[in-house]
Amino acid sequence: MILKCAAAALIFIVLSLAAGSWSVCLPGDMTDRRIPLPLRFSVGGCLVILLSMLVCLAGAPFSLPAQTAFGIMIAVLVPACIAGIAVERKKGIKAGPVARLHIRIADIVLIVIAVILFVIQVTVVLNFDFEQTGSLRCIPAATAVYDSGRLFMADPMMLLEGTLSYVTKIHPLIFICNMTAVPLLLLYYMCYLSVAGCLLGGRSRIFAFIVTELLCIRGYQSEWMIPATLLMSWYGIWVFIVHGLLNIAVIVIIYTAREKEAARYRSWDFEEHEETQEDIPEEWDMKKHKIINARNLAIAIALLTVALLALVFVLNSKINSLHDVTAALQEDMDKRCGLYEFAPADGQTQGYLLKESDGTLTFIGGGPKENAEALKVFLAAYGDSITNWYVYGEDEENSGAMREVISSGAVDAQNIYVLDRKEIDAIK
Amino acid sequence: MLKELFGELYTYHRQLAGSGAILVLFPAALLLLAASRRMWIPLILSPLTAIAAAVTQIIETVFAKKERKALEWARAEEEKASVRMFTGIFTVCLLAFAIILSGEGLIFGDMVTHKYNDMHIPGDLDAAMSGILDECDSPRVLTMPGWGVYFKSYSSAFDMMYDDPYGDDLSFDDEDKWTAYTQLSVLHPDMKKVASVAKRSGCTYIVLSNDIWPEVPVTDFGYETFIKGDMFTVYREVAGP
Repeated sequence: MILKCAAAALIFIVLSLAAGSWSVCLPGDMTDRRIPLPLRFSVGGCLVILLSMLVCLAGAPFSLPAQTAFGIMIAVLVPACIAGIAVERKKGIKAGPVARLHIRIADIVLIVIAVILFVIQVTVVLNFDFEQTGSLRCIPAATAVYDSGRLFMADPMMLLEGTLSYVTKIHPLIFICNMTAVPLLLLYYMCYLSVAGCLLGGRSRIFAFIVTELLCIRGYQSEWMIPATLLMSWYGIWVFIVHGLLNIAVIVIIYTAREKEAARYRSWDFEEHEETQEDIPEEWDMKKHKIINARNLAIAIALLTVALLALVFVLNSKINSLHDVTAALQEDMDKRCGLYEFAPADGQTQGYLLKESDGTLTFIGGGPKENAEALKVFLAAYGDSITNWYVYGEDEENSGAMREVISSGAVDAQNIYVLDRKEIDAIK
Repeated sequence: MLKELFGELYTYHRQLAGSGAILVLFPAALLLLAASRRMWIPLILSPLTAIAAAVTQIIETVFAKKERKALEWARAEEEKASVRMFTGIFTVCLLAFAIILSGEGLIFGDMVTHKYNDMHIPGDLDAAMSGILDECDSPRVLTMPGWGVYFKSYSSAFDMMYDDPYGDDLSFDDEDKWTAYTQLSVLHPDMKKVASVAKRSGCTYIVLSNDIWPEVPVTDFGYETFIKGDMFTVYREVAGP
């Protein structure tokens, strides 16, 4: 199993690094820079998974065989990787760590801490189970692909997992819970490291990455968010979107924004303006030193508004839930036990039906034979078996309906009693 | 009143997005990054990175060395540093407040158990599943709440009587499913009702945890013991004459 996991991780890393060549297409002039390895890996990994999922999703409406889907995946990924490498070579950019990285002892300590935290998380997910089974909800789709050998409309990530399980003849539970843990977790953490690298430099980047790892390990404890937590589930589509695609989107936005700023700065005509602090475009000068300014006030007001709306929403939902619970309780009580009055067309009460909480039915009365049809209709709504039937007398006036209903087979009565309406005077 | 509202908001947010600390940490992080103009807008898409960047910002502010350049620049740097310091202190207090409010926020503890097998299926339930599939190609099974997903993940051949409810939504489209779910959620289930709804739903197999203690075993109601494991027992419907 360890060898299989290592092989899977290695294959994914190689593919990702190859596909990561396309990161040269990120906005910005990269001719004089190297592409950091984490960035290359994260872009390439997300690209590999995205392309593979798209192939599976495209084949799902046609119930494409998993074997065929795998072949198409290879046919798409290999040329994509080769094309990416060709584009990278044409641009003359090399991949590797950022040039002239001065590593001090403090940096090494932080890197070691980051690696240890990653190893701890991988060890936990490989060797422990979580009581929350909500994260497993998507796996049956992969199992269905594995069992049937065909794709169908489902979670794209599970289609991919199922396809790979089918091709490798490894059960999806083993494939997902063991073999994909290391490569996928590594991918998502590299995405976070790349984002941190875009914002911060050197030691700060590593420190921010460690904080991210700690937040991930601390984990979410929400049933709703379980499908997107890195500690409990690393294989769902939502995990890929939240921790992969969105981080790549952040990187693209940051690169684009910086490119625009750089272009604007390059186009700034310094010959016409004296190079003073006041003339430098606002983006390059920290003019605003005050905390209380229009922007921060707007942010504070927006946050307060959101908090107030959230409070109102929560209070409203709490009241609604209390109402729903009360209504449900009342409905449940009505279903479980109750006393129902039998009053035929003439409106005069001729009997009572007592329904107990365990479903036992007891009927008192019934009246003459003329009430039989109405009584059949009345009793049909509650059941066809009366446990105890009490009548006020054996004569036709009091038990005629009862005899007719039972003899016709509409209702079955286990015990029939005649009430002795003997008045007790001694107690008065 | 305000305390109850805040507690309700915290609980609701915890159900929605996990730890209630994120509710405070993320906006605080955005505020700090906005004040320092550290590309805070794109980080709305990456909450964890936003918090991490804000924490790093605080550390940088606390330990930053003042660089002396031209007098004007030095003065601007001092003001900038004081603003960041104030914002940093405010954010640190907010973070401490959020962490204190988080209460029992750690994952580890009762929620984690050592895995039983490579499939991460509890106990030797996989042996039970395998045993059932050896006997029947498309078995219909009634099992404990929360176990259904293991059966469906093991094999798509299993037809479960009910799907485990998700989150707080405990609605079922069938009263028999509701009865089965509620009975098997308690320590002393009414096996007569369980067996009754199972038969009505066509469940040939009932897989029960050995942790429940029914007053009358299900074997009294038309089922026989099929497979007995350490943490579960599989019952099979007795074939009629």
